[in-house]
Amino acid sequence: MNRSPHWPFHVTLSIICALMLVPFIWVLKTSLTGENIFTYPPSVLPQDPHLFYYVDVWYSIPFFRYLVNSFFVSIIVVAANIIFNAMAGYALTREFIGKRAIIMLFLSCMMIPFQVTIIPAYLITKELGLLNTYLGMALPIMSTIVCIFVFKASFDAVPKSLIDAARIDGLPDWKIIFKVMVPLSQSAIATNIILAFIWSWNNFLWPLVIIRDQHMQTLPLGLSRFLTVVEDTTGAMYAFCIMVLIPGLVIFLLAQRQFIAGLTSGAAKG
Amino acid sequence: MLRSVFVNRYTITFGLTLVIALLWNLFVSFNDSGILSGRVVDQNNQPIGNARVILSEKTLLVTASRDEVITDADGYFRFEGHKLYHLYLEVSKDDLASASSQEVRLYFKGQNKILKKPLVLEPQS
Repeated sequence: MNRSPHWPFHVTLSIICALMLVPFIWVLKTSLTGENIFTYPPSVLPQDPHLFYYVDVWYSIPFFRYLVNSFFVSIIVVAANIIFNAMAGYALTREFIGKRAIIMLFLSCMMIPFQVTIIPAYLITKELGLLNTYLGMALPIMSTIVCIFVFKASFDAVPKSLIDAARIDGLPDWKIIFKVMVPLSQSAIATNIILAFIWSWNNFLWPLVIIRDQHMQTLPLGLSRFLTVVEDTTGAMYAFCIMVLIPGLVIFLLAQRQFIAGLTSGAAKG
Repeated sequence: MLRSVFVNRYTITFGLTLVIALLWNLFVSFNDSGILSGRVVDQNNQPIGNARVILSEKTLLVTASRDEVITDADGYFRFEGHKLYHLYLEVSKDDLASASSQEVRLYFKGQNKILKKPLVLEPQS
């Protein structure tokens, strides 16, 4: 059997990976040195690196408060996504009248940008008395259609006989979801956690609309405020970006195997 | 069973982060008396007494004078109790020119620090 060597493929992939890492390395380097993109001659390694820009960020705005706010909102969003999406995903695995129409409705709703629905979303949140609250910030992304389909794909892979056995044992639907289906869908859970966390963590527009109190702001709003009150920001701004990036990166790296398995589950089904 | 619950990458990562944060806070609590000391010398590295050292705050938002001390006969000075993390030191003496202000950056507010390089005063031209 004539097998072609793997090394050209690996070299090409390594070069592409290195190119994709360039922006990240640039941000990291600038956060450690403060030098801007126009510095000549350009250098790959930072010259005289230090961590003082991170100190500037920590003290010039209430960074810890924003961090805690972002975590609170993200925890609410992640928990709600797992619960609601699991229930919705389970419903879509059952047979009922209008199922196809609901799936089509879900798919078509994915095409509507959030900016279009932001006014009704604001009015609903106001009527619920959730303006300027953590729950209000989490509300629009407490269930997302993409993640519902991730759960649906995962639940579809569970044998029907297992659900029937659970039903014969007398389990109600909600117990079937959380005691049978969800424990068998770890990759879907990981995907939900990562996606929900990143969407919540990076959310800028919605908190900007509903938050009035400065102490309720999240990190993306903090970055915006940071840029308005500070003039010479090159190093500090990049340090801020790295500090905001780290939690999402850590969560992705911890759960990347399940995340990829969750996104690709159901992809090979006929 | 217990081992798999407590020894996995999630508990190790978040546990390690917590331990580092606790150790850092412990270190900060023992080293945040705001002591900043150093020495003032002339061009020939001879100590200069009775020089005036001004400590100024410089954050990304504020620049203001916060404290000042006079050096002793051996040229040493010492500030105590400041709560700054980005500051400047300026030295002056009547018959000598002012030294250009020296930037001092700290890793936390009021970090204790001894300046390794002395501040140099040059004669008036």
